[in-house]
Amino acid sequence: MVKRGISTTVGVILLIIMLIIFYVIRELWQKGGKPLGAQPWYVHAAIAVIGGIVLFVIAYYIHKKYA
Amino acid sequence: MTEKAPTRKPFLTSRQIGLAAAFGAAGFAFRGLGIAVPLVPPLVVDPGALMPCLAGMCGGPIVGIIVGIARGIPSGLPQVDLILQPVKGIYWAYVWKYFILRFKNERTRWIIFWITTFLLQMFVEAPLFTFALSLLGFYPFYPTWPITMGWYYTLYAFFQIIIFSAIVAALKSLFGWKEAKAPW
Repeated sequence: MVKRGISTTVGVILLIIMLIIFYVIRELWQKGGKPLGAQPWYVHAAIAVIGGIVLFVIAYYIHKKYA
Repeated sequence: MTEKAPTRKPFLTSRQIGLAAAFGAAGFAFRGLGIAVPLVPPLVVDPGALMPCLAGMCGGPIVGIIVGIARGIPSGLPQVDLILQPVKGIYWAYVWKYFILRFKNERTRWIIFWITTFLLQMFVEAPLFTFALSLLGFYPFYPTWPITMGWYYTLYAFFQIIIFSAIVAALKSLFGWKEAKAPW
């Protein structure tokens, strides 16, 4: 059986659509700013997300090493 | 006699398209939502800015460029980030493939990786971005940047080393770490 991925042309078109969607989101909502920046919990949330990523990766690495 | 037609290498493989979409979305989301730890305004520690580098390492320069554009779109200064974020993706791809992965001993490679990350941050990325900011009038006198901004870029370099190491260690095969061969 031939294993097929998505064709390059379709993939590139999808990536361009993704970038256009990002541009539309920026123009209509985000406008180059930090939409969540006005929230009082913003700094804590940012630290929690970054800390969470690092902890998740460490936990995953330890699990993989001993599994 | 049957002759097999030569197969042309595609512009982007399915794997690279997937990586570009995943890292691009992460880069956009981190900056777009403003998920960054603020230091002294307007300086922040933003994990979104690491995505073009990681994408370049595991997907190659074209993936690095696409992710750099995705990271540049939500920037407050798109005229800087839309140019320099893709540049980061390009040079990280080549440094990864032709320098860091050339070291066969894993322990040595880790040390080289950390030193390279620090040097690229301090002597390539920092001067590039500060120069761009000075051209736009956001930084008054370019040659003074190591004195005024040195502490920030040093801090950022260590942040970068921790995040890069964690991700590469967890996803070794994605980055070709075990085989010491770039997967692109």
